[in-house]
Amino acid sequence: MIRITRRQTLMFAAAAGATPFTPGPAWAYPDKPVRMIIPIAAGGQTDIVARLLQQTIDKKKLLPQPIVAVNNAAAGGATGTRQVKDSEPDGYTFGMFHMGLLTAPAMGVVDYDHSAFALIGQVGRTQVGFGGLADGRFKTIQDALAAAKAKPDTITVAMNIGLLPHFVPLMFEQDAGARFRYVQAGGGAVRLRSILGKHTELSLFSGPEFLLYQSQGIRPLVMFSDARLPELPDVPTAKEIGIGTVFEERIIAFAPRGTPKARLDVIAGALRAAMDDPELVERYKGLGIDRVFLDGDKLRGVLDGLKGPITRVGDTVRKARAEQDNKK
Amino acid sequence: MTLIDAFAQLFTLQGFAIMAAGVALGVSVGVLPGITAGMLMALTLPFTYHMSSVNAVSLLIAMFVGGVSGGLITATLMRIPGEPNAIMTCLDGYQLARRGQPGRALGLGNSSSLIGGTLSWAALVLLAPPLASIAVAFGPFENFAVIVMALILISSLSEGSFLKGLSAGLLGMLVSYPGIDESSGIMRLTFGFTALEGGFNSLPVILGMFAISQVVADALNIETNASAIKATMRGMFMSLRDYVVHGWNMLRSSLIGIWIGILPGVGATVASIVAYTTAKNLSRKPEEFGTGSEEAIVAAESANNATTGGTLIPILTLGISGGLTDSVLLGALVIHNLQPGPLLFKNNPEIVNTIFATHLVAHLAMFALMTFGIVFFARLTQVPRAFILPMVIVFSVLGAYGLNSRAFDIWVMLGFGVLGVLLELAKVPLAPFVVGLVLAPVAESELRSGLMASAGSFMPLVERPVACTMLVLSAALFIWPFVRTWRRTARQAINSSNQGGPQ
Repeated sequence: MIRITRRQTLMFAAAAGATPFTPGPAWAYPDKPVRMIIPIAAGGQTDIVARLLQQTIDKKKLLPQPIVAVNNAAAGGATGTRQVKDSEPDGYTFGMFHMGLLTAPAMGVVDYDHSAFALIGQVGRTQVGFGGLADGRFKTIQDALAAAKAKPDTITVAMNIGLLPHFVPLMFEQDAGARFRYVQAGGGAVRLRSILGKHTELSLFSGPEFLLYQSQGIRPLVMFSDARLPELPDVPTAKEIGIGTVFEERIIAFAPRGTPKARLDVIAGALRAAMDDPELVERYKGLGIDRVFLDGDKLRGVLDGLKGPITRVGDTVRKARAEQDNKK
Repeated sequence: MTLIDAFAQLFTLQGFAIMAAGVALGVSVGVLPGITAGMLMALTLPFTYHMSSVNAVSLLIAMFVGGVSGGLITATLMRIPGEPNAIMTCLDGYQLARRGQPGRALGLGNSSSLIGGTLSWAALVLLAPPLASIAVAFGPFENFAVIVMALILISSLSEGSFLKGLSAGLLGMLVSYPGIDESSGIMRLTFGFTALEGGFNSLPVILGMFAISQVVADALNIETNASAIKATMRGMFMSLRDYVVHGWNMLRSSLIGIWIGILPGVGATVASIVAYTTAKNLSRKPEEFGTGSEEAIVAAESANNATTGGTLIPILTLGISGGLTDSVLLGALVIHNLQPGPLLFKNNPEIVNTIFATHLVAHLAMFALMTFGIVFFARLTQVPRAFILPMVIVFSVLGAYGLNSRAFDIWVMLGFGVLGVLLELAKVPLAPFVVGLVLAPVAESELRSGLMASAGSFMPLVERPVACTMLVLSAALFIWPFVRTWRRTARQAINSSNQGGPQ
């Protein structure tokens, strides 16, 4: 058996960057910068939130070491999440992504879902809803549904394939017994352009996006939230019209599976403290993001519950694609 | 804050320092191969969170303008594009410089950049709302038709070795295919390699084809190249006569640049290629293109700078972004609680005016900086290449890696460096390759979006007037080079048969 002397321990600690004179355990975590992988491009909502949290943690010294943010937007986030998954589970790598974590496996883009990770927690949430052109032909969501039922597969929906603007409308149409026609557009701004240019009729937007786009002539028709949004008091929820679709966009912090619980708690604690920083409270408000923290276990419960509906929708998409391929 | 105030703000000590720093950084990364303005802006974005919104916007716009411009220096002096949008400047700028006129080549590029930028500024300030609404009316089918027109235009690039040009274009398209298919969301041509899921990003591919292959070529004849460009810096400023001679070309190329800037996802690289080929097709001396034509430099450099104003139009008026630089600018506005769109003009005129003022002043600052820069960088060509080439490789590797922080992109760059060397040896033109690489994915996704909306019917291509007109124009453009060659040979035949007879 190898005996480690006190002297050797001190040398180890010194080599690892921890000065033996600081009080507390010599193996304090983190003793080197922590890498945060953001699987989307710079400038998007998830990226902004991730970087605001990182900056607040660094500025307020909520962690003894800095967080280094890295964007890896290739393959719609697949390479970024894979990078997290394949990293050493030592607490020095974590990721910050959105519900793409669940929709990517449902689309068959990756072969792992949230269960392949140690979840740190949810650091933000936005409500989403369905809308169209204010002076378009649909004044209410009932109009749109009636039209979609009368002539299935004719009402066009601008989507971002494989992400919420694709999945939520699909869930909604399954719940409502209607069928829309889906047209690939892209991110929020591209879908806005598609609606404004009358190239498509409906699209999914987030609550804050609706607030932004209302002045440009976009009308929110229905929200998929639990209750009406205070900022959009006139927009009904799907529940109110008797359709059970409830869905939210979530910003999720996650780490490689096997990361020690104690280290996950350190990161979660820092993120949570940052979320309570007064400046960040204001920033969240400005961005229209609900400052709702969920710890890893609670978040896992929520995501497990959503896994079924999302997989069902993914299966529908894949079945339709297979049918199309067979026709060719 | 009126526009005048915004200009005044730019000439306060702080305002000027921020703007000048932005332009200087932008020009520097522009000069450095591999590191793009988009990366600089993405890196800077988090730092702007704690700046005032006016300063943040001013800094990013200045970087944007500087970055588009700096690439021409490296392109002209080393035949390596400092920014992808300078690949056309490599062709003629370098040749002109090698003929002993580096000052002239750089001066033409610099002045054209200024003119292109200024014209696009005018479009931005005067015409932003109407241009934006036209752009919104352009749907998938219209966008597809525009891209087809650009592709056809560009196919005339390979006049002479048509088959080789076509092969290069198709090869470029093929390279754009692996990875996630953005229209169906599934992986294609990845052969089970997870690294291929992200596809071949155009940046490492272009870096490999143009920068790495050039390094290899230079390294192979390192002695002869040590002081290849050793000549006067004369002609650094264009004379009034130059502006008259090149005026129409500048205007036309700038208009092309502005419009391509407005279109989503196309960008400055394609703008310079389209302007270059248009200039070539309309030129009285098309045979000079590729051998150091002044017209070519003017066209490419006015067009790529003109995209700056064009890109800002949809961002400001509609809050719509296309590429990385746009998304960063949009992100900067969002983080400062500014709502891009029509209300921005009403609620935050100080931001709109800051953007307007910075866009213009940054171009002037860029022109001044580049003029100094040119004198400085031109001396670098006297430094033995053995010292410069390793630096080019280092920055290219940094750039390729920095894009998505994955080592795979470095291998992609090196691999395409080898391919670039082989293609050069086989005398296959590289420009059509880039065109295929950049435009094929846009054309594909626009057409497929259109077909999703029309349930698979191609009829809208005929029924929608704009799309139809564009396609007819494309057909005409396709035939034009053949007609021109035929007319020329016919005229030559007449001339030769007339020889000896009374004229």
